[in-house]
Amino acid sequence: MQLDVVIASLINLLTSPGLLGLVVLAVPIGMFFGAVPGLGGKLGIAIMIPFVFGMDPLAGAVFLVSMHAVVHTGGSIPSILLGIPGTGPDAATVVDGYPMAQKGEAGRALGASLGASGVGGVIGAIVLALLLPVLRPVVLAFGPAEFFLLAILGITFIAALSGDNLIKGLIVGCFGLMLAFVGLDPMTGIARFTFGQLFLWDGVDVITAVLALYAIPEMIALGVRGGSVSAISKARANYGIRSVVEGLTDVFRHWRLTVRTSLIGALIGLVPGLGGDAASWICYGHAVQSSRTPERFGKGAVEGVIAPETANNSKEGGAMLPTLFFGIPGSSGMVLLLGAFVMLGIQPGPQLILNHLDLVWTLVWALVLANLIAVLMFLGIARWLGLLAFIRGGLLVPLVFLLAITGSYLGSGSWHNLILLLLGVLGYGLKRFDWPRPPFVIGLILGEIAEVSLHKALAIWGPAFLLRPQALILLAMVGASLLFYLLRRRATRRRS
Amino acid sequence: MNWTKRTAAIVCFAAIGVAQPIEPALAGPGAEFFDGKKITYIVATKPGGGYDTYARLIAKYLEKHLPGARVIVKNRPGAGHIVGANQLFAAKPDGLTIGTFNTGLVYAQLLEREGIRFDLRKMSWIGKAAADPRVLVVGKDSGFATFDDLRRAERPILLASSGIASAAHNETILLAHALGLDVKVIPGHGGNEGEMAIMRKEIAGTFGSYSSLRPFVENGFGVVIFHVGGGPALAASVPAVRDLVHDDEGRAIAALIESQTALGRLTAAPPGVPAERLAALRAAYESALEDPDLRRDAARLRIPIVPSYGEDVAAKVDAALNQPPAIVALLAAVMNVEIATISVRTALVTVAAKGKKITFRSRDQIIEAKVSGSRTRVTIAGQDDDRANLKEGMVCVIEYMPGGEATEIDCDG
Repeated sequence: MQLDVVIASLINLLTSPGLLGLVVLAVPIGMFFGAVPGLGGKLGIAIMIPFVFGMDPLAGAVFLVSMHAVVHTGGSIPSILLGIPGTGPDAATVVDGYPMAQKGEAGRALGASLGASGVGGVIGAIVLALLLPVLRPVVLAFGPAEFFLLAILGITFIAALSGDNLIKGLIVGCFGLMLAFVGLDPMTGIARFTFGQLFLWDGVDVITAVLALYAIPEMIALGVRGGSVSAISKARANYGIRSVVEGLTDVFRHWRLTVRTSLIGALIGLVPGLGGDAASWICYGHAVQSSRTPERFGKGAVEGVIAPETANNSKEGGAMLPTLFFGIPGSSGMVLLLGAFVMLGIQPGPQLILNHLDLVWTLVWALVLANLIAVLMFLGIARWLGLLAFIRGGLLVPLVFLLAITGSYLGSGSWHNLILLLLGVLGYGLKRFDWPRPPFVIGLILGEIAEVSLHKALAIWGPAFLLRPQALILLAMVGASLLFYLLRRRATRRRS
Repeated sequence: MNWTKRTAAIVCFAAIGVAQPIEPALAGPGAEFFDGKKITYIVATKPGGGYDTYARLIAKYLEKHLPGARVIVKNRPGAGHIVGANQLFAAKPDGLTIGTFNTGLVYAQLLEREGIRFDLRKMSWIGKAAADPRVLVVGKDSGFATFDDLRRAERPILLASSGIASAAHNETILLAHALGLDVKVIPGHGGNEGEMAIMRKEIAGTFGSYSSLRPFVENGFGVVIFHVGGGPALAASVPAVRDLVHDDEGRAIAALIESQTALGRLTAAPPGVPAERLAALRAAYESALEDPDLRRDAARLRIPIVPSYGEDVAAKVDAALNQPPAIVALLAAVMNVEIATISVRTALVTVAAKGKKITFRSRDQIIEAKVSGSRTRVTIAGQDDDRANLKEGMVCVIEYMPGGEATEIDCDG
């Protein structure tokens, strides 16, 4: 690695008021696109492209990368305060973030999400930097066989996410898997469970499902109960800057988890095809499974906020690798970023690392810087955002319903999709009778990946795909995950 | 509605960002109707894709050439462009709704797929903005470098496609059939997953639009084997499919796919738009696409412009939809089974290896097919029989997969 280029790029970025100004400008824009449900980073890039049209390539790229890097930092705000995920990958943050707000710990949850996003983003950038020399073999090590087993590994987390009743968790998880099969069968082209409705051809929209399962039941519950999101009165709750800082320190108190989920997130980002939703839910599942006290999750455990938020931001660093160096984007957001790069006159591809190493490093530093600036900016407003948790339910409920509906509509662009919000009735039932909801989302997200990858792996290698070396490692991990769960269950039984 | 308004405001603001001062052009007859009107331009995909980029660019210049009109792009994604096309077809034919969608819907209409509520023959065609040549690209390390390598392949050649309902998937199977290649198409490679799979060497290659595969080739990851409708951008050494096929069926398939490539980025209005308004829309579309400013913007966006207008496009769409029943049957077959089988009544020319291998004449070619002990159903004189009893000179109805196995052999005895 040429250290002089690395340092020169950092100095160039820090001493150029123009570039620095663009990063500072890009951060609030990115956070805004994350925080408004249904907008998201992809739309952010699409809308910002006209602005960078004609800019100097370096400046334009720095602006877009900085903006896209912090979308999920903003996305956690409505997840925590209102139970509405700002973007798809922020949905996992709802599971524990919203209960924290209910316990009067909105400030702490925001602080934790903020710190986790910042640390995750920085670790993601470091992974990007470290992998530059060995990129190709690492990225190419993951094919459909590995995707399938990664999805299965994620599905085994359903056990840990089921709480004390495995059967309930499995039923909910299987229902999620079932809904994952709605849509055009990718292999045969046959419409499955679409009931003649064209909007179902593309499957069940994940954002809408999460809104239906979380935001709607929580708002019904709030309406029934009365009061505000926070069950604790403002006088007794912690919403000051001190609680935000407490959340920030939580991230470092759980530093092992923070580092692990950042790395998992970066790895999943690196491999085109798995997607951000899978990254945050797999990390959430991992946090529950590796916790000594898994029963706290879903009721406001701070680790449940840290895990998905680190993954969300760290995956951005990873996802840029195939985009920049193969010219092959890993997500639809990256497709747009790639298009913008080309338009700016940057031709992504293997030559980039040879001819424009300075540009690559400037982008790495922009990623780091944007994440840090986002933390500072957010810190300034977190305290006031936390007050939202104390607004009277009568004012909040209609607003949240409106946001849920526009979020679902903007996400899919089809009003028919709003019919799916009827799943909210199911969500309310699950909440009311204390059934776990995360297994549903895991099933919905990973079911599709598992199905398509299994088909592909079988078509290419036949059942022998399970004997590929990476597949064997992943199979061992699946086994270990199940064994770990069983042993822990036995230990808890013996204790009680 | 605060949020949506805010979004709208941002979008408009962004649009102003690119808009340069625009002078109104000369308006033709019928154009005065559009003065002060709002035209909705339906795009059948989510924002940000190729169709969206073309539509937003064209919308900007339509406004310039239809003085006083505002053109609003509206994204109506879903069901592989069918939702958008349905909505366009059902829109009021007052000339104030136009739209763009994938040319591959021609296949969907030919096959009468479910969910279709449009008839492409009846649409009021305005024009098309691009040509979309297709290429077969194989990986640099796939072991194939020329068409002959593919023809000599000993095992099925694995090619990636996005999904079984996609135009590229159908075209891959049709081409394999026309060229007599032993191909297995693996669907489920959405976005750029096919390119990743080629780099991982799981898959040999993929057949698709040259504009999207071009960076992959230019980055040195892939080689172009042949093209359909390709222009001067391709090396002269790359053969066209129409020169590689030998029989009428092959030529018909090559022509069908070629007609698709000519019609990239179509724009249409619903059926029954008053003639004068349609003429005004066509004229404005033509002036927009010929505008040097549009060409300059397109060059900056790196999107090619190969336009064609009005009646010409309508005639080409009609031609693409006028397929002989044999081709439609072939299309239907490839939609339902992985590889289409062909049925022929002919005499067995040779029978080798105790009936495991047979050759026969079909469509002026000598075909070699394997006979499986378990999968191939052999009947002689109406009785189930063993492949070992097949003899040279027997007249049989043979159903076979091109380049593969016979599925059924029914001999007179």
